[in-house]
Amino acid sequence: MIEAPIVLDVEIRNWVVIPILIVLFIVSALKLNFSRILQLKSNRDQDVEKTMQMQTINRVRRLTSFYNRIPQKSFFMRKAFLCGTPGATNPKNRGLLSSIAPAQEDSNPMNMMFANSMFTDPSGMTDMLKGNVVHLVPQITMMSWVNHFFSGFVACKLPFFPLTIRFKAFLQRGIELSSLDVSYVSSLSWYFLCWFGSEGINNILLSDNFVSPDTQLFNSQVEPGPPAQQNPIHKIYDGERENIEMIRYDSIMNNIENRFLDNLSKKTSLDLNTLNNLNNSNNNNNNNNNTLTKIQKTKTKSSSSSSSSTNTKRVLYQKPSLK
Amino acid sequence: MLHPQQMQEQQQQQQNAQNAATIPEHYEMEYIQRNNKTIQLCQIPISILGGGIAGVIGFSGLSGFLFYFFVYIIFCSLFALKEKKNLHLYFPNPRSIWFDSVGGGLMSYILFWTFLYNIIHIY
Repeated sequence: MIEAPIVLDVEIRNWVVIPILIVLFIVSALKLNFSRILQLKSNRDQDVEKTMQMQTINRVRRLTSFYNRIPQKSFFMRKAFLCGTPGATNPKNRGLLSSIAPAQEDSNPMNMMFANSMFTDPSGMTDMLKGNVVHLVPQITMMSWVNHFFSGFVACKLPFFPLTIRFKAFLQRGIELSSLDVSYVSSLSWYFLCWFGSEGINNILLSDNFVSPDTQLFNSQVEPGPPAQQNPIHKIYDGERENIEMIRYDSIMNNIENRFLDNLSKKTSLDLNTLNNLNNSNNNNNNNNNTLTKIQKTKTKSSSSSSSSTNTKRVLYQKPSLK
Repeated sequence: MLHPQQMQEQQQQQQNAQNAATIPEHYEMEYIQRNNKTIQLCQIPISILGGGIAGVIGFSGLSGFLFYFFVYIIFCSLFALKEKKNLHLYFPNPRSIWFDSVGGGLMSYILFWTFLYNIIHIY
C-alpha cells in the first residue's frame, strides 16, 4: 500500500507546534528559577548545630577512606581526637564522636519513631512537598492544556520508523482514523517529544555551566551528604567510631623506596632478557637449528634469570613489619 | 596436595604481587563529574546541530539514527584528536568517552530532527 504524503496545514505549524515548544521552554525556565528560590529560602534557616554534625560525619568518612595516605602520627592524633583515649574517665577526653549522649532513651520504640519522624523531619517533608509541587503541577497543567486545546487533528509526522499499531491509541489520541499511518501523531505526542528533548537544552541554557569552587562549597552546604533524618545522630556517630577503631593502620608509603627500586630493576631485567633472547635467536639463525629448540633455549634462559632475580628480591626487599 | 615446586611458584607470585603493589591512584569525584558534564555540554549542541541537518536533508527511518551515530563518532574523534595526549589526565578511563554518553544527546537530536523535518518536508 503506497500512501500519498499528507499535507498538513501551515496554521498547525504556526499555532500548535511552535507554541508548544516555546511554552515548554519558558515553563521549564520558570520552574528552575522557582525551585532555586525555594532552595535558597530553605537553606537560610538551616540549623548551625546540624551543619556542624554533618561536616563532622563527612570528615570522619574521609578519614576512614583515606587513612593510609597520612603519617602514622597524624592518624593516631585524629583517632584520639575523634574516638578519645581508651579508658579515659574525664568526659573531655572521650572524643568528639562520643560527645553526644543519646537524648532521651525512651523505652517505647513507637515513641522514639514518632519523635524522630515528627520533630526532626518537618523541613525535609516540606522540601519534598515543594519539589513535588514545583515539578508536578506545571507538568499536569501543561498536559491538560495541550490535550484540551490541541486534540483532534494530526500535528506532525515522526520521521523515524513507524511504531507498531499498539502505540496508535496513545500516539493518535483523539484521531479516529483507522487507516492513518502510525507515524502521523497528535499534539500530545509532540508535547512529550518536546518535554524529553528540551531537557538537554535546559541543561545548557539554564543551569550554570561552569561550577566555580565557591559555588561548589555552597552546594555542598545546601545538600549535605548523609541523610540525617533517618537515624538519630548519636547512632551514626557510634557507627563511625567503630569504623575508625576497626582500622589497622598500614601506610601505603611503607617500603616505598624498595618498591621504586624494584620497579626500576624489573625494567632493567626485562631489557636484559630481551637482549639475551635476541642474541640467542641470532645464534640459532646462524647455526640453522629448528625453531623448537630455539624456543626451549630461550625459555630455560628466561626462567633461570627470573628465578635468580626473585631470589635476590627475597633477600633485598622484605617488608618491615609494623608493631 | 600441591607439588613443592608449585608451592614455591605460588609464593613467588605472591611476593611479586606484593612488590608490584603501587599506590592506588586517587580520583577526585567532583572533577570527574565536572569533566563528564563538560562532555555532555559539548555533546548536546552538536547533537542539536546534527538533528537540524538531518531534518533539513530529510532523513527518515533508520538512516536518521545512523546519521546520529555518525555525528556522535565524529564528535568523539574530534574530542580525542584535540586532547590526544592529555586525555588520560582528565578521565580515569580515556576510552569511556567513546561509549559512555551515546544516548546523552539522542532526545534533543530527535526533537530537532522531527521539528525541521516537519517544517520543511511536511507543511
